[in-house]
Amino acid sequence: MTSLYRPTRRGLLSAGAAAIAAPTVFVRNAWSEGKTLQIGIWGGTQGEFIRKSVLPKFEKDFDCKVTAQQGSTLGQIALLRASKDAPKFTVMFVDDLGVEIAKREGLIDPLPKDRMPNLARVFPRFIYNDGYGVALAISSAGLFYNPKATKPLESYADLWDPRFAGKVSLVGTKTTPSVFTVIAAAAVATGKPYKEAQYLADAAWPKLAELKPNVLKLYDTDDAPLLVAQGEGAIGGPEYSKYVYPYKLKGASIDMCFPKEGAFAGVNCQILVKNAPNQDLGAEFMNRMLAPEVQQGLAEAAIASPSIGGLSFTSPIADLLAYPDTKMDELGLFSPDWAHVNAVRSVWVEKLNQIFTK
Amino acid sequence: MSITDRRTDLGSPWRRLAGALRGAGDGLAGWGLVAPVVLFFAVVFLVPVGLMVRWGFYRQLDTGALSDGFTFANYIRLFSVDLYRKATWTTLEISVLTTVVSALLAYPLALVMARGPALIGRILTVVVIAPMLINVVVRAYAWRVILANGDQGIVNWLLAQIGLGPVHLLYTEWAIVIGSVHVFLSTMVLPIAAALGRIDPAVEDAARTLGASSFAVFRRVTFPLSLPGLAVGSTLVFSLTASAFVAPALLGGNFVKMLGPLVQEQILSVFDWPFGAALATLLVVLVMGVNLASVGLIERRLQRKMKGAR
Repeated sequence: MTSLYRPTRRGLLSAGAAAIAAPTVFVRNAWSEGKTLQIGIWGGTQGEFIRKSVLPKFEKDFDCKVTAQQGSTLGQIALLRASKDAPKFTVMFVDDLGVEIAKREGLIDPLPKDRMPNLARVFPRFIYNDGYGVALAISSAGLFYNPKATKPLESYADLWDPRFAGKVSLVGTKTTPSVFTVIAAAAVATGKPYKEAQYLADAAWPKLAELKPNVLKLYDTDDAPLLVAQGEGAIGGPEYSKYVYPYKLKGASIDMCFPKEGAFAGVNCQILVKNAPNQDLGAEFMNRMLAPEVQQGLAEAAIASPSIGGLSFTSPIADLLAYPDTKMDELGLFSPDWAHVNAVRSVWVEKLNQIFTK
Repeated sequence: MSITDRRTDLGSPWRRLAGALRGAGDGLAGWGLVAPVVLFFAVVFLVPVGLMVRWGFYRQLDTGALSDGFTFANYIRLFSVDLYRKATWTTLEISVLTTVVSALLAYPLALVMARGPALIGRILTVVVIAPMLINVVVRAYAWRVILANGDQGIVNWLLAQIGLGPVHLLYTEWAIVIGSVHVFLSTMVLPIAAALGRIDPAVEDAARTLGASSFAVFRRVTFPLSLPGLAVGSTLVFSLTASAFVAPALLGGNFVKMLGPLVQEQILSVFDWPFGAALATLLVVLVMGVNLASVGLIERRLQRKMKGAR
C-alpha cells in the first residue's frame, strides 16, 4: 500500500514556514488575552451597530471582554467626573462639545497616535482639541418636517409664521441641539451669520418668546421625528440627521431641510480616559473604530458621514450623507465655539425654561 | 403577718426585677429586630440625603471641581429666579390634584374591595395593581395615544363621534394628573381598602339603626375611621407624584416644569450638581413638610373623633 501523500520540496517549504509562523499567528494578541475594556457608547442605530457588528469581532480578535454602557455626551462626562480618581471607563464616545469639557477638566489623555495608525485616514478637520478627540461620525443638524404638512423651510425665520401655530416640536433643553435653537434664533433676530450670532444670545430670548404660540411641545426623546411623520404637528428640530434619515429610508413621511442660515454639525467623537485601565487595548479599539469597514458600516447604519477619506456610498445613502468633507463645506456645516457655549449653557438652559414654562 | 404574706412581700421586688429584666430583654430583642432596617435606611437614605444637602452648599467650578467651603449662592438663585418659584408651585399643585383625584376614585373601589363579594374584590385588586406591572414609560406612551390632540387621540375621536371637542389635553397639567393618577391609584386604594376592612361593621349598623342615612353613615362613621388608610395613601401618592419626572416630560411636553425634571436636567444636562442638589433638597423638604402637615392634621382629626366617640 502506497501513501497518497507524496511530499514535494515546495510543500515541505510551505509547511515549514507555516510551522514557524503559527505561534506568532496564535499569540498575535496574547498581550490582550483575558483583559476587560469598559467603554461608553451612544444609543440608537449607532449603538446597535457597534454592539452587533464591532464588539463581537473585536473581542474575538483580541480575546478580551468589552463592556459597553450607552449614554448621552453629558451623562458620559458625568461618569468620567465621578470616577476621576479611579477611572473605570477607558474609551468614551462623546460629541465634540464633550471633548472640550473633558480636556479642560483633565479627564482625558491625548490620542496615542503610534498605536492608532488609522488616524492617518481621518480628515484633519476632524481631529479635535490638539489631538485629544477624533470624530467617528458627522451628522448635519437642521429641521425635520412632514412633507404632507408643509414644504421645506427656506429660512429659520419661517418658523415664526402663524401657519405653524401649535405645529412646531422644538427640541428640549436636555440635549445639545437646544444650543442650535438659541444660535438660530439669534441669527434670525440679528441677521448675522452663526459665527457671530452664537455670541449674541441676548437677541435670541425675545425672539424665542415670540415663537411660543407656534410651539406644540419641547421634546427630549428620539421619537419626535416619528411623531411628526404620524401627523403630530408639521415641523420640528433642530435635530441631527442621524435621528431622522433612518425613518425616511424606512418610508416614513419625514424629511429634513437645512434653511439658508446654514446647517449645524453634530460630531460624534471618541476620547481616551486619563489613567484608565488597559489604555493599550483602548487604543486598539479606537483604532478599530476608524477602520474603513467599521466607518462604512457605521455611516450606513446611522446615515451619518464618516470621518475618514476613501469610502464610497451608493444611492440613496450617498444622497443623504455630507460626504466627502468638501460636501460639508457646501452645506456650510457650522460647529459652535464650544468653549464659549459650554461656559454659558447653564444660563441658556435656564432662559429657555423661563420662556417656555407655562 | 403570715408566711405566705411574707413570701409575697419578699418575692415582690424579685418579681419586679425579673419583670424589668424581661422587659429589658424584650426591648433588646426589639432593637435587635429593628437594627438591620435602621442600619439599611441609615446607609441608603440618611447618608445620601445628608451628602445631597451638603452638596447644595458647594459651587460648581468651570474646571469641573467643587468650590471649597459653604455658599448660599444656589439657594439665593433658587428663591430669586421666577422659574423655580413657579416650578415649586406647579409641583405642589399637580401633586395635590393627583392626590385628591386619586382619593375620590379610590374610595368607591376600596369599598367594593373591602365589603363586596370576595371574587369581585380579588378581580378589582388585580385591576388596580395591573398598571404597576408595566413600565412607567410604556404607560406614559399609552396615555399619549389616548390623550393626543387634534383628531389623533382616542379621547378626541370619541368626543368627535358625539359632536363634541376637540379638547387640548396632551402637553397640559391635566395630562400629567391623569397619567399620575393611573400610575399611583393603587397606592391609594390598597391602604384605604385595608383601613375599611378593619372597621367593625357593627359600628356602621348601629349608626343605621339610629336612623342615619347611607351618606351620613359614610360621612360620620366610615370615612373618619378610614382616615389612617387615607393618610398613608395620600402620603404615597403625593410623594411619588411630586418626585416624578417621566410623566411631566412625556405628557406635559416640558411646558409644565416640575421640580423632578429640573433636578434631572441640572444633574445630567447642565452638569451643575450643587444646584441640582439644592433643588433636590427643596423637593425633599417640600414633600416631607406637606406630608408631615397633612398626616398631623388627619391624626388630630382622628383623635378628636375618637374623643367625641368616648
